Order: sequence, then structure tokens, then C-alpha cells
Amino acid sequence: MTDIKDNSIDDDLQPSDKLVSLLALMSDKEPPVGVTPNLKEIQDWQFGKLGEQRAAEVKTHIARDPECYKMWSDLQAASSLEPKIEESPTTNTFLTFIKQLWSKPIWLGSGGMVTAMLVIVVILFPTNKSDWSPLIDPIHAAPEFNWPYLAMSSTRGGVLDYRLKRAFQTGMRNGLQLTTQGQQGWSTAIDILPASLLSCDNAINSTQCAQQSELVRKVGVYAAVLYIACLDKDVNQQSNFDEVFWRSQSDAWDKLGVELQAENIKVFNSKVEKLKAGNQKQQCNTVRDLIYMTY
Amino acid sequence: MPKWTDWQCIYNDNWTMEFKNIVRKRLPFSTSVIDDTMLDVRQELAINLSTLNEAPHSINAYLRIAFRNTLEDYLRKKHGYPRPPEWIKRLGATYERIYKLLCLENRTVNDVHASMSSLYKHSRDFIENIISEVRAGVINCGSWRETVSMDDSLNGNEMESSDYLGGTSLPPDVILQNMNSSALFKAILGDAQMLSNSLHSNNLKVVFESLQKKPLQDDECLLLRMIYTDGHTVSSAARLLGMADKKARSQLNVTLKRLRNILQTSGITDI
Repeated sequence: MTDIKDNSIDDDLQPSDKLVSLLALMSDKEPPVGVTPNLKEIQDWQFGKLGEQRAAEVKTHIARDPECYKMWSDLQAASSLEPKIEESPTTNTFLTFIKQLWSKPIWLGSGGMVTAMLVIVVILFPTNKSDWSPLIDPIHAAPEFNWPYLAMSSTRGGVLDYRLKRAFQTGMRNGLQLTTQGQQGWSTAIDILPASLLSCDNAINSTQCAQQSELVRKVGVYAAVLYIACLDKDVNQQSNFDEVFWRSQSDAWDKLGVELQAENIKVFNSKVEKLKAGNQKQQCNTVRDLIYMTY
Repeated sequence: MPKWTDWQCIYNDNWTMEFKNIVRKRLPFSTSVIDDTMLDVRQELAINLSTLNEAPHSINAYLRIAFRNTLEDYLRKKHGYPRPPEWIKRLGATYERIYKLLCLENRTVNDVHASMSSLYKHSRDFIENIISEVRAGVINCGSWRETVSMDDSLNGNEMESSDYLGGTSLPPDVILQNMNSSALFKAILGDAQMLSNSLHSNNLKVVFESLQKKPLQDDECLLLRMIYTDGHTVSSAARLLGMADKKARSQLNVTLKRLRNILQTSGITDI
């Protein structure tokens, strides 16, 4: 725990000094220099890992941007806590196990792969979980070639509002990042998709605009994860999704359908309704159509 | 480019419990949405973590803070959860934490002390002072949930979040929004009423504009933040900033003197 009163006996802090300081901090309007750092970069700064120029920029942000200062302050507080949670031996052991399995294909028969997938199911998809965990290393190069690119668009000419189209594509980028985790061969598919949503600052109802964009982005995340699972299923000639995956993603589409209906985003809602009603094969066809529609 | 993949530990039971606890503390009146919120936020966190190229230092600390930040973003974007007034944000993490506990979550003073002491060894007096300042300075502190219940807000009916403008170049009017300046100054100064009488909302804009003309340097800014808003001693602030203790004290004196001069030239003569 950070002891921040370790030497207060020689500090004579006057209330009027405090008032002067607070006024100065409240009124400060000097813009920080450079790109706003994220939490990782602030931690790197704390540990002296940044180059001189970037370190100076990050320091400016911490000094002047309350969000950055808060991250730095939180890091100090959290770093000084007694560690309650060590890195999970379960996951690490499992990762090692999986890496060993796939690095030794000679002795890995189909039974071994089934075992590995079973362990993935048991560890990554406990039955009480309804979100879609990323898959550990099940996506190999082949599905990447089947991933739809912009040229495959079936709806050029503007069926969709551009802001929503872009939100969906941003979500697909997030979904691909989450699922493929930097595996080689996926960078083209990811980089071609936008990294951020369009701003809603100038929209008539900026709050509703932002909420709709976020919702459609989320639909994009789930669509990408589902379609990758479809591609993976085809490539590996499996007949069915894992049961827990199937159940959890069906639950997720139910929730998304309710939210889309509440936001009255009809064009996506109609597809999601189909997704909710379909069997696994129909789901894969529908999610493919949904992705094509947004290209 | 190699990626850091061990972040998948966030799906372990230990982290699941930790994340649920964070959400539960943040939304103590909304037990029905804790699980869904945790799952949504964890997925957003996973998306962010999947883009990291290398492991952060001190993974436990990183994941805790990253989850909390993602939760705040989520509450703002999805549910319009209100942001702190700009003047609170500008005063930094401790004010913001106490504002959330006191004004958004209606925690008791003892709860606030308990929650804060789990993070820092702030002295009780230091926290007590900030509690008084936040209570005095925030207009309608604690009444947010009286107008809109937390559960309603989580269904999307909360106040507009777009009223937050962000950025550093906000005009004084915006900074002074939701701030009862005279009550705040009285809370800070205690018995020194004369100064608080001379410094009132009418001349605060002039004061802010004068201060903005001669901005703080980065080190000055950090020193003031750490000492006056985060409760560090001069020595601990100096140590964290990699400065000699003597230099930090000297710099603090010079800065305060300079700021007093600016205030005096803008008409606050009794400071």
C-alpha cells in the first residue's frame, strides 16, 4: 500500500495554499503534447521504458489531462496492493499444454485433438458463462482466405446508413482481433476495417446516435466471432458448433435483438431475428449475408 | 508481430469474482444487472487486451485498472452514467473517487473512509476535508438517484451524457458549472472567511483568465496535484517524480508565490 503520509511532520500546508493550488489546477488549459497515452503506455512511462521524447509527452499528459493523471494514480494505488490474484496456473498450464499439443503434430492423433478441444470447452466455456470467450488458437490460416473482403459487397449503393455500416465494420475488426489474436494471415482482413466509430458530436440527438453506433459495433463483434466459428467449422469438417458456444451465442443474439428493437434499427434487427430463429447452418448463412450487406 | 495472449486469464474464476466485485461496488443499487454488466465489460476489455503486443508490467494492477476504466466507459456510453463536474475532474483522482462515492452512490461518510482506506493510507483528516469540500462544492450532490433511479438509468433513461464537453481548453463558465464556489472556498479555508468573501463567483472568471495567461509547468502541475489533491507529502511526491526533496520544496514555494502574485494582480489582495 502506498504510504503517502510518510513524512508529513515537516509539511506545513496552509488552507490558503491549497485554495491557490486548486484554483490553478481548475483553470489550467494548456493542451498536452502528442497522442494521448493509454494505460499501458502510462505504465511504461512509470517504469522508464519510453524514449526521451515520448516520455516527455506522456508526462505532459499525466500532468494536464485528469484522465491520464487518474490512470497513473490508480496504477500506483493498485500496484501497491498486496497481490490478491496471481496469474492463473490453470490458464498457463493449459496454454502450455495446448502449445505442446500443436507443436508436436506427430504424436497428436485425432483423439488428441478431440481432447484438446474438449479441454478448451471445459476451461474456456464454463456452463455458467454467457459471453463468448475468445478461442485459444483454434483458427488457422485457411479460414482467412474465406473471409469476405470489401469487393464481395452485395449492397453497394447505400442500403445502410454509412455511420451504422462503419460501426458494424469497426465491430467486426474488434471481433477479428479478439478471435484471431494476431495470428499471421489475418492482418489484411483486420487492417481493411475501420478502427473507430464516426463521431456523433454533430448529430441532432448525439446521445442516441452514440448508443446506436455502440450497439451496432457490438453486433459487428458478435457477427465476426460467429462467422469465424462457421468458417472454422467448415474447414475442420465439423458438423456442429460446440454446444456451449452455440447456446451462449444464441443467448447473445436474443439480447442484441431486444436492444436493436428498442433502438429501432430495423435493417439489423431483421437479420438478427433470422439468426435467432435459425439452426446452425442457417445461422452461418445469415451471418454471412449480414456481413456482406455491410461491405 | 507477436501478441500477448496470457490476458485470457481474465476468464478465470478468480478474475471473474474480482470483476464482479468491482461492478458490485460501482453499482451497489443495481444487483440485477451486475452479471450482464460484468460480461459486457469483460468482453470490451478482452477486445482491448487482444491488441496489446506485449505484457504490461504488474499484470494484476493493470487488469484491475483497465477493467475499472472500461466499466466507466461502458456506463457512460451505454447508460449515460453522469460524469463528474469538470472542476472535480480537474482536481484529480481522489476528488473524483470521493465524488462518485458521495454524490453518485450516496455512501455514508464511514463507507467513503473505508473505501478510500483500501486504496491509500490517506489520513482521515485529509479524506474528511475532501468530503466536506465535495459536499459543499457540488450542486445537488447525492440527488442524482432521486430524480432517476439507478435501474432506470441502466435502461437508458439517464441524463444526457453529451453535456460533457471534455478537453483542456474549456471556458471558465463551463468549468464553474455545478460548482458552489463560495461554499467550496469556505470548506477549504475554514475560519479564514475574509478571503472567501473577496473571492466570489463574479470575479472567479477574471481569476481563471489571469491564471490561464501564465500557465503552470508540467512539474508544477504534478507537484500541486500530488500534494494538494492526492494527499502526498512533499517528500513522497518528490520521490515519485524523481526529484530531490529540497528541489521539490523550493519549487513548490516558488510556484505558490507566483500564483499568489497572479491572484493579487487580478484583485484578490487578501491572499
